Amino acid sequence: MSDLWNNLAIGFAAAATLQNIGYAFIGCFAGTLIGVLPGVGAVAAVAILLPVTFYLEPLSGLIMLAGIFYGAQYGGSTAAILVNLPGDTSSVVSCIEGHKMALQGRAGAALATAGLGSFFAGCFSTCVIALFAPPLALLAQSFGGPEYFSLMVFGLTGAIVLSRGSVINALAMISLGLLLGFVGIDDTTGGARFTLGFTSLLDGISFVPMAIGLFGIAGIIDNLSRPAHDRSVITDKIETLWPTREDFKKAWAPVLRGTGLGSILGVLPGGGAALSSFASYVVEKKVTRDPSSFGHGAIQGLAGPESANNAGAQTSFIPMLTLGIPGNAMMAILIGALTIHGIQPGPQIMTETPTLFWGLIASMWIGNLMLIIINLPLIGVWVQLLKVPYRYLYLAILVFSALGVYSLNSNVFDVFLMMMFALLGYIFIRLECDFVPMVLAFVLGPLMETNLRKSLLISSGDPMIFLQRPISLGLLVCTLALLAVIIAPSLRAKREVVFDEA
Amino acid sequence: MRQLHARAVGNRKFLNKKMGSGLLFLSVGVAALWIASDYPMGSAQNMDSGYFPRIVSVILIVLGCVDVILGLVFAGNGQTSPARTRWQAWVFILMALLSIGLLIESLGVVVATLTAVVIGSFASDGMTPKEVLLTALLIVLLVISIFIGGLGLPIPVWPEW
Repeated sequence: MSDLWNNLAIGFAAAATLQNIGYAFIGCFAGTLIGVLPGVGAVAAVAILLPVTFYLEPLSGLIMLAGIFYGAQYGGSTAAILVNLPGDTSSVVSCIEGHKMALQGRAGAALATAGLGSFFAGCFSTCVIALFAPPLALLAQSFGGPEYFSLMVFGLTGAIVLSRGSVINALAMISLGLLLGFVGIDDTTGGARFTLGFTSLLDGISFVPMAIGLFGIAGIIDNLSRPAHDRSVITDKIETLWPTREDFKKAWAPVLRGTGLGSILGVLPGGGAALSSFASYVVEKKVTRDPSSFGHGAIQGLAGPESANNAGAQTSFIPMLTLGIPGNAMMAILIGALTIHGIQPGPQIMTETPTLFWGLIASMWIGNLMLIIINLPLIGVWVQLLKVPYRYLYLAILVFSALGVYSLNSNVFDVFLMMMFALLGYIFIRLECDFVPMVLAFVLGPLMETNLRKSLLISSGDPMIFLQRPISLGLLVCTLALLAVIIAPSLRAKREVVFDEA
Repeated sequence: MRQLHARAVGNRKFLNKKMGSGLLFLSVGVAALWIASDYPMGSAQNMDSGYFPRIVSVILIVLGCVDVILGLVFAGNGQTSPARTRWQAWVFILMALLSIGLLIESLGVVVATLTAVVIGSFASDGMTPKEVLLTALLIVLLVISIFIGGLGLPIPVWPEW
């Protein structure tokens, strides 16, 4: 236990410098600014703002990213509550009750509940990470090739659970992601693969153009290709921000339950913000004494999911930081960011760069605090921003994304790469192929190949090695169980229902 | 006449989403396998650069075939073809990005941004020329203050001649 406090002290000492708090502030502000834009989700916001953080030293860059991350997520909730337009799946649930509350003139209370619930969840899950990351990293240090390979298979299977559309499509998208991951020079043999003659592809497909193209630009194209929404922004009724005493009485239990649920679900592969908020909404609806109020602005249905999505978003850092395995799209983007800063996520990160690791954890808490400090008082600014028509905003995002991508390496090729991925992403959206599994597989592909090689080298080419090592066997059994659950008709129906609402 | 109509409907349903994704996966898989056939295979014990790519390509081809078959079987049975949407969106957004990529190094940030905003504005409908111009100028100001002033990027601002 004293270790924990020591570690956190190291982290806070590193993160809580005036300069870093400044970056957290800028990050949080910029993140909310982009995240609040209708139709732009947290993942897209982080992807778009990613290039800016590369100009800072690693820890400051990460702290700013954490700020962007929380800001974008809260911005998404704000847009969901006030305009009924969720940026991405994790704020879909906030639309249901939050927007109803806003329609009843309680937008202020809804926004404050979301903010305070998220803050509580953030504080709690920061402790969860500090508590559970070290033992998990210790365990992971005993992992060899076979264990890692099986773990990645498990992780990718988890990604299928939460992907939209058919299981076949999800599997195919994973294969596609693996293929994209092969592009460039093969680390082990030194041979160039799938470069199609482009020298710029020798280092592999750069992650940032891919992420912005898919999550940012493709979404813009999709938005513009549909008939314009009728957006009614609720603007005139935010007078009192503070929830009433009765609100507090109703909300505290859902906040606790949501935090607990989110903390657990966030760690699972495929888990994170979206899964947690859906699960929490379902739970709250089940346990409430007054189910009829749900769908009509029940504060429980907002407080629970909002806490859960923050807790889940945060604990999904655990597998990412300790194992190097991204559980969701956001973590894939953060792995990309870490790699560009020269940090390879994995069990060694904690022992090799403890300041960075604990600094990042401390910065999560700082990011959360920043959220409360800047977002609630500034709510008027965000409301004004929501009134800016989309047709001005998308042009700004477009130009900023292109220049941001160009600025990474001063290479025009990256801009064209982003363009290709924007087109590809739009095609995928139209064909109902979720590209999140593809991105996860892209990040994991090279690691998977390396570990497959290692494993088969040890076993002289015998694939049975994956079944002979107990941890690896256990993970593969879990994978099979997960697959069985996905294919089981009952859950399939539920998945469809959930995504139909989304 | 009725037959003709049925065939037209049939044709439309033939190109459903399943068929589309299936053909996409299939063609990428075949292309990847074809390219990877040049790479040394190695053995399971000593995998060379072609080993894993070939496995993944084959998996992708199989999954693509499954999608195509499902698309054929369920054609007209709940499988919808993609809904009609505005083509201007993707055409002009991509052209705007292309123009930035082509112009930024030779003509500088200002010209590239202005061009991209003007081209990109055709992606949405209902923007008047005045609106476009004002938006473009505002974005240029923001871009210069953030990317050149704030981050100090070594990008040419104006055309060099």
